[in-house]
Amino acid sequence: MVLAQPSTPKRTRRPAARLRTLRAGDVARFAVVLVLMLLMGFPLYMTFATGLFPNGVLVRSGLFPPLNQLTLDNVALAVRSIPLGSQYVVSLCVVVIQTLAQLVTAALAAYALVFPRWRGRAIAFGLVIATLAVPGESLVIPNYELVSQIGLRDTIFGIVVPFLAVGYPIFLLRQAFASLPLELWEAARLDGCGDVRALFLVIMPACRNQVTTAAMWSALAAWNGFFWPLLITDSPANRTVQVGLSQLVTAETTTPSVIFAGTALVLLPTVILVIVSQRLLVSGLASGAVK
Amino acid sequence: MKKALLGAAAGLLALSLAACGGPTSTGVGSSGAPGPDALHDAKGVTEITFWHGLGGANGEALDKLIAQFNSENEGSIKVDSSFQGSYADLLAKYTAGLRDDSTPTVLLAGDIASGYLHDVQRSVSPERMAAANPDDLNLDEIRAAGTNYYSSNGELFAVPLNMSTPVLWVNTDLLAAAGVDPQADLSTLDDMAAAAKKVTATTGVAGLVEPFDGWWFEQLTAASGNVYCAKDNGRGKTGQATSISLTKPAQIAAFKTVADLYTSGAGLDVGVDGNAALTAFTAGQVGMMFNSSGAAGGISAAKVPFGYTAVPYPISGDKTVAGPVVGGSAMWLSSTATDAQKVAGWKLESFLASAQAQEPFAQATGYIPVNTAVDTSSTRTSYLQENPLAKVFVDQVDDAPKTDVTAGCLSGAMTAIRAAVVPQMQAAFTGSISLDDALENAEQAANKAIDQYREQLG
Amino acid sequence: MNSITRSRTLRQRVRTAGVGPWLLLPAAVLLAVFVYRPLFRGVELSFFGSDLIGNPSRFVGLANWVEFFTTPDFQRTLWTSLLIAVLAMCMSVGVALSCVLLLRRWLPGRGFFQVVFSLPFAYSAASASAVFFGLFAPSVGGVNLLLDGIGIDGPPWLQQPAWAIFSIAATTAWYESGFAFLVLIAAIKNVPEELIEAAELDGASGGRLSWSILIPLMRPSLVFLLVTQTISGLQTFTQVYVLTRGGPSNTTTTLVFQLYQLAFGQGTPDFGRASVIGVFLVIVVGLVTLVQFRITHRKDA
Repeated sequence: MVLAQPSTPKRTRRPAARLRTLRAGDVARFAVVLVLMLLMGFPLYMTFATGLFPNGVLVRSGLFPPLNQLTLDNVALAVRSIPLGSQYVVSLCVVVIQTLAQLVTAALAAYALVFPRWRGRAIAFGLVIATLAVPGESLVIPNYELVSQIGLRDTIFGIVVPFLAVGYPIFLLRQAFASLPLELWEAARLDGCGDVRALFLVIMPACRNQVTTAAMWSALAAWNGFFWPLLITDSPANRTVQVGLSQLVTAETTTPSVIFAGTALVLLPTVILVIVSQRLLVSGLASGAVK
Repeated sequence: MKKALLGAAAGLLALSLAACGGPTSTGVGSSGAPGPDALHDAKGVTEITFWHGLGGANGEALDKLIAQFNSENEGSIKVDSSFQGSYADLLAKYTAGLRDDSTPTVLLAGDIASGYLHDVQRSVSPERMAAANPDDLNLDEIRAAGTNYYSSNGELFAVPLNMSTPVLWVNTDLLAAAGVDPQADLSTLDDMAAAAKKVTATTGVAGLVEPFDGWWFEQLTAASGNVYCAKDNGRGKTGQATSISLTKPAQIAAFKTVADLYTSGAGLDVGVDGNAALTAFTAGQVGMMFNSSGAAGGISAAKVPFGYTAVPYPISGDKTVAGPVVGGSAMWLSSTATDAQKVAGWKLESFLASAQAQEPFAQATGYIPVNTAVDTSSTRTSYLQENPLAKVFVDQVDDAPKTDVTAGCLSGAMTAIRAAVVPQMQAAFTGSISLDDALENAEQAANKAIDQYREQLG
Repeated sequence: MNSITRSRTLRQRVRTAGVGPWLLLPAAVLLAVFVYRPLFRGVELSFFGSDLIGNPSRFVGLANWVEFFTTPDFQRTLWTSLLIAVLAMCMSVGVALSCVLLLRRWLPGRGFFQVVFSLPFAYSAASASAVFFGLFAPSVGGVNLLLDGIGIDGPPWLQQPAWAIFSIAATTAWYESGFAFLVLIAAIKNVPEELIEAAELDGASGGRLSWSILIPLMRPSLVFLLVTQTISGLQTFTQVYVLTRGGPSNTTTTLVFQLYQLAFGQGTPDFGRASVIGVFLVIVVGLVTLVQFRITHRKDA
């Protein structure tokens, strides 16, 4: 059979109507999917269930304990053992600062790489892209030297400073800007906008989806960061929640329930995000993520 | 444009490479010891910082002492004390502080950090401070075992704050069922091994549990009458420890005895964690446990349904040189602090190590008091009568000979040495490799660690 | 000048120069200071031995490098990193692909299933490791409880070398499967409907359809996932730090974990030896990225 790749995917009619007829194979398919779901969902269930019951109860009652044993004690203990409260604040600050900084520097850089013509633009873009192939862990030691010399060790700004500009959002926005019609930009400039105003008033709004994807990527990376925050901070109160979790696991006074309770607390924002933005995640990944 | 950008980037690169040659290397700090005038002449309140790694109940007892010191010295000294997590975290933070000059005035460091801190040379000698401040701590009052541990070439380099000793905890009910008398039959290592096997044979329960932490292999070595590292355990005129020694005959015999228990099924494997051993003991899963005297609190809190006691650590070597090594932590006074801060820090150390502070501290924590003046107080005597185990601990520490063997190995590479030795011993005890192979591998790996450390020492 | 030439000149003026190119400066400076400078500094550090607090103090030339490549430790660390990377990648992409293919045609509750399969994306390496630390705990962990329920004795997940490596790979695979699932869902949405219908009319169904039509059409995404997950697998640190700390007996020490041990984890920091690993990683990841580039761009030729 010859596969002729059409230029754009087209949907002729709603597939749902036709695909809703169940066939015999579908029962088997459903069973397999169910098993897979139970397997993959098991850690999810345990994350949120174990923390809500006293230590050992979940174990003793075969994973479905009676609801009258629900308790928030584990959560309270988790918040006390590591100072989860102040760590949450630290993580939030890191997310906000890093995301904003990355978006701004990336927007500025992408603009400079797409619209004005200048010699060396291609080389500059190449240098930016090259940073995507550099593993962050290899840069940790020299950056640690530098950041502690500046005196930013054990501070929020120290956590954030090596990541104020990174290659991936620049790449994303550059692709987004490059896909816009040039006339849009020219019109804005002809109207008298300076470069910066053109960027923020015309170009960025036109790429809302990709900007949102870049923002989500930056925010997620900032929230999930572990290696660098672990090294650059040492006071428990100045650490991020991810590092705090790793300390919770090895802390002397914790039980498994407390570990799960703490983890669930840290996961709440991202879990809600994933549930709520399914469509956005899928479309964001489909449109620009895969090179 | 391209040239300008590349030029700017290259310039920045060169600039930062040049500027970032790193902070000043470890110079010899001014180890001058100021006298009390430095504090009297200082204007206002002298603020000092104190870092420690004592958490939980022990940390609370320490906080109480700090608060007492602060109120007694209100107006002249203020101590800012902070808990830095485990001893390992504490040391990592201190090392990072050395790089950017943010070290505390007084550091309470774990016992095995002593070699490193001694080599880094950022501390003032306690003997000089004591000589310059005759009204404060009298170093002769420090318990001899502590002086022995925290000295090199005859000179004390840190003031101990808390002291513990390794003991053999015994489930007397289980042993009685096996026909073993704890007071008579457990004084030597071989006796203990025989008893453990008997317990397993008659009751089916494991006879002994030993956490595979490096401390226990050092104890076995000291109890067999051998030094752990050459020469003189790193404490003599010959200076730095140059190699580790794991293959002296008495030492191998000691290791073999315990390894044999494990491979024959009389030993319980809980990995390296002392807490796990404690849990197993309090759950009645084992007849005897090697653990620190500090485990007393945890055992009594567990309210076990069986009778228990603690007997001195079994010796396998010549009793005139062999004995257990003390554990705990000691205080180091920063040499980069101002003179007023140094005197204030010395006053803090003197207070914490004084008899009046050590007595309540020892009672609250279960540590052995480091100040011998505590022994003669009447409250202490009655305390010991009510708590016979505490007497066992302090007697063991006082009775042990004060030799290089019982002082333990002094080396800045102790952490790396333990990391090299423990996996090998663990493999030997669980039967994956023969003891002889394990000892050879361990020696090789540990010696490599020592060599690397000495390279870094310069 | 007529209107056309005037607008052309205007256009040229608008297009060239101005402050535009200088907008690259913030990003350029930051990248130069925090990516390119450390690259060179790392190479420089790797030629030095450290003093007691980590500063480069003695020029040792290639000694650190020679030592790195000739110790059996290096081979074991490299092998462990590779093993974890490949295992995790296979499991994660395998599961995600199966889920996506199984859910392609409608099933009751499909929306719910999709949410569940994508939820692991919400987990970071640290949170997933914390969860699996609890699940893999001996005798009281969830996994062993489940196995007990069906009568199997659970192995010592984190205490035995072989199982420990598997556990780390499984943890990694689990939380990475969320992202893989989302990417593959997007990829399969891009497969044109007519192709599938045509194939089905021709008699292809189920397995054959997936194998010969769908998977080849999802190739770019699959290659993307394979490569990025292998690369991040080579850089495994967090899972090792939380689950096993390199144990038992250093059998789960990965490249980055060893970097951490040398530079921050063992008393006296050795930035020189640690930097060797850092530079080695750059080379390895660079090579893998180059390979990926070749694969994806050769195909389009």
